[in-house]
Amino acid sequence: MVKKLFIVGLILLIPGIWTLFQALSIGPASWALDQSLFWGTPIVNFVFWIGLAHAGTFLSAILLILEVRFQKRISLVAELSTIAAILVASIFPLIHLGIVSRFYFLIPFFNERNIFANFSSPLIWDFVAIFVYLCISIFYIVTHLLSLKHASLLKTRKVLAWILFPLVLWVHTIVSLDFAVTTNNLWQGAYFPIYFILGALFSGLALVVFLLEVQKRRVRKIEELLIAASWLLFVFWIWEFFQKGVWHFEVVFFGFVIVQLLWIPVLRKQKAFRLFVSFSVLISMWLERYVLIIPLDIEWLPVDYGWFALGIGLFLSVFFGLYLLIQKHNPLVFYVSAEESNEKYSRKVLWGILAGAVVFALLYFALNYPLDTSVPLMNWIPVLFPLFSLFAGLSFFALGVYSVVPKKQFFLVSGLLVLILGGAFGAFYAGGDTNLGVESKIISVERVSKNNRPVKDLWASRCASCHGLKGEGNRKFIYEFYPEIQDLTLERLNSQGEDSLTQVVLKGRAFMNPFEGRVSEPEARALIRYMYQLAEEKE
Amino acid sequence: MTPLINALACLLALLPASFLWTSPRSIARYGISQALILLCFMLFTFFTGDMEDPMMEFYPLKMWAFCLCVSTLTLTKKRTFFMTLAQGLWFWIVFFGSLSLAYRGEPVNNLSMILLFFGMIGVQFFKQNPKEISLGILIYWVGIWMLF
Repeated sequence: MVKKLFIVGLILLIPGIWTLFQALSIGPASWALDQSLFWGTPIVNFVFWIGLAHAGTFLSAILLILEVRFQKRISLVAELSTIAAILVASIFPLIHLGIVSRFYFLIPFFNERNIFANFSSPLIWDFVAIFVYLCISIFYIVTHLLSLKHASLLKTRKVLAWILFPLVLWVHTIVSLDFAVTTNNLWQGAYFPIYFILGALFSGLALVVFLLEVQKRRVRKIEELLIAASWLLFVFWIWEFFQKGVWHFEVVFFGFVIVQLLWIPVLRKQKAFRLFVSFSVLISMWLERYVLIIPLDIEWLPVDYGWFALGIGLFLSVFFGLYLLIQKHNPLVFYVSAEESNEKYSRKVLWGILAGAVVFALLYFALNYPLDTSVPLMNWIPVLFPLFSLFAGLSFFALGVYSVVPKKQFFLVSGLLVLILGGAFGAFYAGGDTNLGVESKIISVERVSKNNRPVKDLWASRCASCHGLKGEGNRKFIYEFYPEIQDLTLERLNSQGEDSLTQVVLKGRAFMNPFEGRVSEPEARALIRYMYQLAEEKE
Repeated sequence: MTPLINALACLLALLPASFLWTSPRSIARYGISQALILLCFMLFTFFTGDMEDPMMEFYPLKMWAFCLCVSTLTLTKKRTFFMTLAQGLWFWIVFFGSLSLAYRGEPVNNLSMILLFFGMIGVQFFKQNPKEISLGILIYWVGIWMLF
């Protein structure tokens, strides 16, 4: 079964990669989009997969902290699912960047390059939070695997669980704040942080039920938790109805009504039925995110369907690929747990590292804040705790591993890692050439007269995020990041002329970014002519 | 919300707190009882509160967290641990609820958050809770609820 699912994953990756290629080459125009929605299906999938990613480690960590016995039976599967799901989730914000190769602009470096990370942007918050969560989840699972041989590592695992517990809540809360900063009323709610966390937990439980069934195992307490979570979420849906008058029967049906059938013992005994319920919950949670982000009827494009293949394919291939790899190394790894150990870190070490982490986060803030005091203090909050967690998690992990592996090996591996990561850090810090070369040759002004399609695509990928697909301006985006843009009218275009406007595109002006190096001069001219066309259509 | 309704909300939140963990139930039944209590708080807020006030968006969640905090006083095992967690939940709801509203330009009341934060630290010093201390902690929470 595991091998079959791995192969299914690989097969699904074929249309998945096509989808990714389409999305990256065409840009936002490749998926169903409306100016009032802006985010579209990529963000639906992002919130869904990040929810699954949060729940895996969270379940394992919180159950470890609470010393719940069945934690040992689900922990490794849950932790592995986090790693796979987080990789899937991280694709979608990168797609939203437009130029994926410039993802390092999201790294909150100091302002040496005059490209200060925009702390008002949820993209920065997500990047930092997800990156730190991925790192500590990897530390956590590696510690888990090592603790099977070295029981003394349980103390490190417990400390990491304590770091992960608030971190995972923090990360999903940050996802809910992505919505809070928008101007869309439907995306706002002060109850969202807890609502999102519950939703993530619910979908994660369903995923764990499915993954355990694949292993031919069953944990009744998880099914109980699934029922409990369905009730709590049901109440939140009622609250949403009170707040916004929004009620989605399909979400309630798949996410609440179907789950209640688990109360019937005859049905609950059936493996097929338990699988059915877990799928039903996953469908419900995907639909919940969909109706929240895209409340309107909108015609889907092939890429919107392709996200399913990409997400499921990548998840299955990464999860079961890692599963097979770990199992090959230790065939019983999923069925054994570490011996009990009462070892604890001394208070001196514990508080020393935590104090160091606090100092690290505060120092980072103190050095960066004076560089851009226009960013409100509350926009820094989403970033500071993950940085604290990264410092503390890395320190405890290094300390734990140092105590069990041969010193030579430890220094060799960590030295190599420092070299690689330091090199990457330096390369990202230095930045790259802004000229994309090949890409800018794809579209020429000649083709504009023969076929309108290429320049339309260029507009969609380079200009539409601010100026709107039809030049009407993307008010939501503008509101968040820049002042209001001017209306697109023939009169205004004529007053400036093609030459002057071409220079504005290339060199930038006021809040308009310079696009020299990313579009060629003929392309800039083509875009200006396209703007004329849009203005004519408008009038 | 008027002070009278706020006081009524406090009483309503206190009501289920004393018997929340008394009889052993399955996880699912615990979940259902929590959900029903939360639903009651939501209905109370909906019918008595001014729904135009953005603070009402997380008011029932605050009631729920308050109820959970008080319910930890009835626990016999790991009381300090669960007290910290319950106050952490209350803090989380208020902190991020307020932050969400702050992005919309609503004013933030920092004092209740500071008091809750110190409450989380404070309970660590009362590992052995005699009845007098429990009463003191209860009064502290009711004070936070009523005044902020």
